[in-house]
Amino acid sequence: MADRSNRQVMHDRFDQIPVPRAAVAAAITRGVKAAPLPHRLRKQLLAAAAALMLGTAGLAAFNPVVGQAFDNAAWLSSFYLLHGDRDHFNTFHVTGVAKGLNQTVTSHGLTVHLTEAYYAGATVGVTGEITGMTAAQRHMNGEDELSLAVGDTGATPVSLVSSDFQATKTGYRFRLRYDVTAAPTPSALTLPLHVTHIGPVAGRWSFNLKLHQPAPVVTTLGQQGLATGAAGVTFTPLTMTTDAHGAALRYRMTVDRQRDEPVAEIVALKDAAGHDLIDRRDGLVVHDAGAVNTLPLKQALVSGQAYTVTFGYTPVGGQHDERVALTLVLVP
Amino acid sequence: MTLTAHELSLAKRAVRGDRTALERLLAGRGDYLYRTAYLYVGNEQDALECLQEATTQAVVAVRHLREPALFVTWFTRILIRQAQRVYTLRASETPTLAVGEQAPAPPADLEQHVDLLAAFTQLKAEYRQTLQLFYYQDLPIREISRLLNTPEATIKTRLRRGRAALKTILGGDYYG
Repeated sequence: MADRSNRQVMHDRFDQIPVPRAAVAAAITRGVKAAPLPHRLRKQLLAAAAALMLGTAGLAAFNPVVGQAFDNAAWLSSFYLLHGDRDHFNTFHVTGVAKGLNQTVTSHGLTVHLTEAYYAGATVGVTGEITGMTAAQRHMNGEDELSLAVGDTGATPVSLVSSDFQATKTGYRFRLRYDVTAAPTPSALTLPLHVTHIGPVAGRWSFNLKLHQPAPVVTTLGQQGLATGAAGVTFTPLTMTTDAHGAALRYRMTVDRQRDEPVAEIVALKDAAGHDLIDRRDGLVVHDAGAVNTLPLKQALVSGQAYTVTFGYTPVGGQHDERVALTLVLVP
Repeated sequence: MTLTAHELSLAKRAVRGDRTALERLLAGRGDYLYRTAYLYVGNEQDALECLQEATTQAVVAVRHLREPALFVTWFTRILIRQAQRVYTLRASETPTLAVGEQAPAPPADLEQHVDLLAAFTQLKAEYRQTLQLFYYQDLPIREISRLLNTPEATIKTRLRRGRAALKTILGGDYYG
């Protein structure tokens, strides 16, 4: 053993950990079965969607924005609500933030029709429909299951982060959500959307979507770094931004370099009534110590009003988190 | 982590939506994946739950994997993030868990095996995590830094201190 590296020694020891193979296989099987199948044919949901459309059609008479949204495609809301308005597709559809599209490309017998798109804050959503698929093409793996290969977006600063599908008689409805990776987010964006495979069919379905949104309202804040009460941790609010997607507080959290590691993060931000204003609809907000972070909020903070910011941190040498609260009054 | 030709074929099918292929691919690497989760969370039940949850996440996200040859590396990242969530949750529920109270029960006849694992689980949690990612997942320091959202200098400090702590527990001549 004298001539073996530390890495090899540790690797060999770890590889001797007993493995309950039957339980591991069962866990993997359960994990696969638990995955959602939004693209599977669900006849009962199609029937429910029809009922939803009939029930909400009356709204169009009262709200011209809703009427405009419904003009785009009758199935959009029902499709979005299959997944509980994840990624805000239905909200933007109803409020009119999403704009109707009518772009179509046919290749190798399959047609991709883009129906709607939104650009709000740092997210882009695109919805469309695929038609012309045969039963054999739709029944890959013996069931309705869509595989949609989308090519690189090149220099456009976006990243495809999620997608959902619903089967139809001749193809699929789909929606794609992108995150805009540029900061600050541009008010205008051209999204190249290149589909290279639809199920087993290779082809070329290419679009260039020109998107724009009103410039966000950004208020630069005048605070210096605020001591959080956690030893060595300073919180500096930088800007308050309001856009079509909502509001966001950009801030920097710095940590004393004498510490073992930077582990402070914002766990709650409450108004005077005790309501937590952090918007967690898009999942966990991850804090990056030393860098500028963005905290999505349900509403913009108002200068002059007091808010309670709660930080969670691990003290040096500590084994678990502590909490400390700071009263924040924004200064424009 | 290089895939065999058969695994690569399964990975390509998995990316195209073949869930059976994905399941077979993960099952073939089950030992490694289980040990990865186990080293992180310290007990069989949590390790299996991490593996199950990571599998579900992978099924949903695999269609966005651009290079099927990187499937195992990609899935390992998902698994480690899931294990990190579970570890953080358990640490807040059970303060003593971070010092490795739920130690594995290695076979009694593998004395060296007992030495290292028993010592490993006695390490401070941050040292244990870093050593595992460095020595078992073979991740570079930069990758560990990104995964744990911790500066590289801190990662290096943890590696150094973790190795020193292991030597203290095991005796200075452990590494031969």
